[in-house]
Amino acid sequence: MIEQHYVLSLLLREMGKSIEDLNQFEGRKYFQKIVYFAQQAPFGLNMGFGFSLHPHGPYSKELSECAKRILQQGQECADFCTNNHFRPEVQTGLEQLKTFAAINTSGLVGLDFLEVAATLHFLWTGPLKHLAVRERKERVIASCNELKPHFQNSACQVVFTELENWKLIAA
Amino acid sequence: MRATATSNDLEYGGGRIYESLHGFIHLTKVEKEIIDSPYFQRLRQVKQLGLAHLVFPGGEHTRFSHSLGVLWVIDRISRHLQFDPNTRQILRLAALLHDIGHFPLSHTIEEAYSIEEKAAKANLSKKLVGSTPNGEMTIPSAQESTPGLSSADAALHERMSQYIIEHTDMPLGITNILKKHDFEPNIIGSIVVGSSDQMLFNQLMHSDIDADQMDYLIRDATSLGIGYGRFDIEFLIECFTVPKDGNNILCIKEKGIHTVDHYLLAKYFYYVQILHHRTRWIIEAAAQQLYLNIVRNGSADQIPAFSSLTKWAGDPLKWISFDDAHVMSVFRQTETAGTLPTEIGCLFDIVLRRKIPICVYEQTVNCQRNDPAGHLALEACRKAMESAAPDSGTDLSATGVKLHQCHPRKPFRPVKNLEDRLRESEHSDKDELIKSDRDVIRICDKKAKSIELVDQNAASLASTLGNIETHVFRAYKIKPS
Repeated sequence: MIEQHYVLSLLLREMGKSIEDLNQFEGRKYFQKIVYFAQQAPFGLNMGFGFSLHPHGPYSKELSECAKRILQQGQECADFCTNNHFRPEVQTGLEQLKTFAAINTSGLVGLDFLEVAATLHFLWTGPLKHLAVRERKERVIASCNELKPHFQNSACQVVFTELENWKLIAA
Repeated sequence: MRATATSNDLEYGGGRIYESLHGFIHLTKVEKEIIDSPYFQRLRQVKQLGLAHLVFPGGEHTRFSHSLGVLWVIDRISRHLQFDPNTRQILRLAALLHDIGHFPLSHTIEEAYSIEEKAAKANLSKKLVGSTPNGEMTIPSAQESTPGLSSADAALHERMSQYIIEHTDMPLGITNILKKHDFEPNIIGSIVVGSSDQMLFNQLMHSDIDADQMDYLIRDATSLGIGYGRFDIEFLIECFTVPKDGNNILCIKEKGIHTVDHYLLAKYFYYVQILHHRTRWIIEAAAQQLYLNIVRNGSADQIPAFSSLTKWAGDPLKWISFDDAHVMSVFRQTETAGTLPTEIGCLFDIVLRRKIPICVYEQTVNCQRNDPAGHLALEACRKAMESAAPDSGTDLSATGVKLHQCHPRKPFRPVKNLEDRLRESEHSDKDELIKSDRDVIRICDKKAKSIELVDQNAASLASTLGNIETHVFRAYKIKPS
């Protein structure tokens, strides 16, 4: 059996991050958002983590526990990464995920983009999924703004369009 | 949708029901229809505390009465906070339905399925890593680990409840009833798993001081006839407030600080004295292991495999028969059929005939977090526990039940302190955590100008208790026949 935190440390390495990044708030936030998106259909790295809505977007307690384990077992995780790789079938999704994570749009760079994108996606597919498409889009963007007043409404609109382009949202 | 003040009342019209703890509860039509549905009536056959009645004879109360009780508590809070009738109704429905997907024997069977879910997740990870000799591999789909269930970060029974709320659109199904009365199932389901876009709703149903816990602490204490678990619920609710400029979050007025302490201590003693009672623990562990064996040995016609849980939940005929009596009957039939390995036999003795293993070692240790001396004491206890554990053959190890119990990772905590919260959650700093975390208990001053976490308030015992962990070490062996 391969424990989840080993696979997650491999994902971190593939995304160009180090285990030590998890010591920082920004690193943990990136970890949460990248796993959230990795599990979505276009990328296909489903590991079964469940998320709930937090001020910085979708958040998983279980994933947070895994981050702690990665830090505690840093050397074992590093050894696992040296000796293992993702299956070739997963690589395509992984490359797409790297491209997605590197999007800089409307003044939102890297982590800020991921945070807004994950929040919009979570609201769209979760608590507001019952609404009709037009109302849903307005409510999703409004709720995202309410959660994150420091991001401009126009920026949320642009990120929303980006999610549509990536077929993460079918509006 | 915003919680707003109004003097309008709910339109009842669904009759009333006398509930043993809270008295008469007046019902609306949609609530009456839900209560009369087979899905809700099933809860009469699911005991709130699983097999605890084998230790505490009074533990016969069910998820049915608890669900009604949570409705009463949330309504009492909603009236106090002057929510409009629509908001009240939505919260009442979420309360009524929060346990609609609970498993037979409550958390005992839930834990067995959670173990299966973990195994399914580990299997997903395995599929992602390594080489593929023949080049053929199916990338795991989003549904593979939890078929049909949402990916909310919530307990399995909560996700099952959400599933039943949102996916039973057939006559007498919960979704069907909600839609008929113009309520959106997804809104109710999101509150049940604590993922509503309205933080206040999540807090009232899914936080460290929510309606669910406020009911079960008092209900369990009353039914069991014990003192642990009681607190002043009326005064606590009177101290609930939502400051106008406070980001629409729930706070407790400063004058209620000792009531909050009482609630936290009640919860702490309840966990230590009831949920982790030494005899209850071994009975539940045995039942859980027995159930896992039956699930894994393929009794798909009698009980659902993890992968077919939602299929069962979506079939009213199957789901309503999936209750405590059914599981106990499956245990008896399995023993008679002799289909499980012989070493499992002692588990039948524990669960069906109450032959309780002897606890040969037990030590409870309270220590300060991050205190080196405390951790040395814990290590000494662990060694003593392991050396007290009997040899295989006379113990439970062959059955898969752990012959010892300790909580190195999950000690009992009366309350988490700010540092732990910050370490464990996704907040950039203390201010943000205080402003926006779902789970924490906030105290505000008279004019609601200053808001802080309960463990930061010097007047609260939580400021000291937040540093304490309780660890329990136990070893058992089977009684000689």
